[in-house]
Amino acid sequence: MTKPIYALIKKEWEYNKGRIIPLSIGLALFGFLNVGLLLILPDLIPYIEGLIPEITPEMSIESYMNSLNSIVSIIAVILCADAIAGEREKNTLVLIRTKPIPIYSIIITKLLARYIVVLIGAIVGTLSVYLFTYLLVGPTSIGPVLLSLLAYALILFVFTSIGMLISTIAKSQISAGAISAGVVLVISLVSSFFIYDNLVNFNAFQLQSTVLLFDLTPLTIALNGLALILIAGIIIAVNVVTFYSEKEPTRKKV
Amino acid sequence: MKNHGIEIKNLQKDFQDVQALKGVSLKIDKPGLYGLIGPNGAGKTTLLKCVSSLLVPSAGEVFVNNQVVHTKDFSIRSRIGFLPEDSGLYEKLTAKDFLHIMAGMYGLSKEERKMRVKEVVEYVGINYSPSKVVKYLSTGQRRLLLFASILLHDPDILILDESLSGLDPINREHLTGLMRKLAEDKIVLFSSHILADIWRLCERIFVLNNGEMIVEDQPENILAQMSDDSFFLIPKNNLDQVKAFLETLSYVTNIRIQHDKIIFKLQNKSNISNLMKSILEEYELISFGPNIPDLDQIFTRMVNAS
Ligand SMILES: Nc1ncnc2c1ncn2[C@@H]1O[C@H](COP(=O)(O)OP(=O)(O)OP(=O)(O)O)[C@@H](O)[C@H]1O
Ligand SMILES: [Mg+2]
Repeated sequence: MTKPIYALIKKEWEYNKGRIIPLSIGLALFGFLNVGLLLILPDLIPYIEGLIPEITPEMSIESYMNSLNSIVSIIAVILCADAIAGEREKNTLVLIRTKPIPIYSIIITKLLARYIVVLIGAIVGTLSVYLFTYLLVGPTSIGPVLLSLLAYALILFVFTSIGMLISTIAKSQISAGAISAGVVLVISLVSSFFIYDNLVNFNAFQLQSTVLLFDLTPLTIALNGLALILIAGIIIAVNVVTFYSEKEPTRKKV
Repeated sequence: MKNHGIEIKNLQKDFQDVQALKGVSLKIDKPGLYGLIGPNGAGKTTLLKCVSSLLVPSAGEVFVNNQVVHTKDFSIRSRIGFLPEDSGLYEKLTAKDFLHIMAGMYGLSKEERKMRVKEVVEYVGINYSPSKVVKYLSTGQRRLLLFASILLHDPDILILDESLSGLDPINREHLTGLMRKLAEDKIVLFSSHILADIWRLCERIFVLNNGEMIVEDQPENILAQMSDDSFFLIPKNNLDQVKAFLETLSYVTNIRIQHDKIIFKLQNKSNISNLMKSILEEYELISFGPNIPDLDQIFTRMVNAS
């Protein structure tokens, strides 16, 4: 006997592995464009030259980490849409539900599969931005970059769990994708408005930027990280309960 | 003998607007083929899903192997093989990978998986290359693949929803044979409205209509009840003349024409030889025999009668 969940992990891997390379290449390319654009923008539009300050390596990295928060998070939740809603639509959920696999492990496996794929992309993207920045803008230390990446990894985890929850509730894959993209956009937009001195300590959803821009104490960073983990945990718990209490787990919703 | 069986006690299932099952009871306590038939919307799928722990009953209880079926209890799932009527498959995988993953989900180890997949592919007679991607399989090939996937863990109880639909006559025959073979030591409960010959091979037949069990009996009894002791006769030609001739005989009653047949009753079965003698003097016959209604007719009659 081996654990039934391994087979589900294998299936999820087979279904998601093809996304890793395109996503990584895409995000690396996006990083390159980000740095490049920042450098040539003053030359393209001469009169803004005086408006923006001298480009520093820190700016280049902060700008990329900032865009990750919306773009990559949206990619993550869209990938989540097929996890439950998609399988329900394709009528394959019954294949899983007739097997002795606990509900929480179905949710966690599907969540982690997508999280890991997107996280790999985010890591590759961030490292390449560091490289491009180093080469094109100037040297900077990697420590803050890694800290920011770690912060974003936690934020991404929260967003991925939101995507899974919406995929469990939604009627179809399309609506799951659309709703969760909207939710992510709202959260990341609204939170990005709150980068004021008195609020930076509490802005967990922009932690990837605040750790770069402000001198947060280690305690604050840790508390923000903890808050993110807690939020994700609550969302996953709600998700499991929702899935668990469905009276008709296999039929399409109308 | 293993201790397996299905018992359903006063099972009810309400959906928002319909009562799909209105207090159904049945008991199956030994291996064999069991047919669940009924018109569309009778509640067959609902019943089978309740047995396979995929639906929560509104009232009543379901026992499998003397254990109460509960959607949250997984131990029963590894004893049941459920064939859904309209399930999708993992389209991206090859047929072989699909079976391996299904076997893995039942908890089979790698060695067991290898062995069982090979055995089951042979047993079910999957005749296309196992490396074919599921997406490109035909409807029938998919049904066979799905059927193979529910045998991997060697369940005691097979619950088959519309197992014969979508198959050509050859594969239907083939699957019927498999179901019979499996029924030697397993309980095979299948739903169908394709009344192929498998009907006669069942241990018992359950007829569901409108959420209620209207008939539960052995096939022979159902046949006996439904056939009405009439006879048929097919003349080579002169259908109307033969009919007119029969009408002159006093011991022949209830004469009517059905397609190319003349259906009639005899007052007494000992009249048969007299009848034959007198007809054959005048007319040529193609066929003659007791008029047993075909299964579709029986089915329609049972449903109408309820
Ligand atoms: N989720 C649901 N919500 C509302 N009504 C439902 C639901 N599932 C089934 N029903 C209703 O319950 C009744 C029984 O449906 P069921 O699928 O069990 O029929 P069936 O006997 O399997 O029919 P068929 O031979 O067409 O497959 C039908 O009237 C159907 O409309
Ligand atoms: Mg049905």
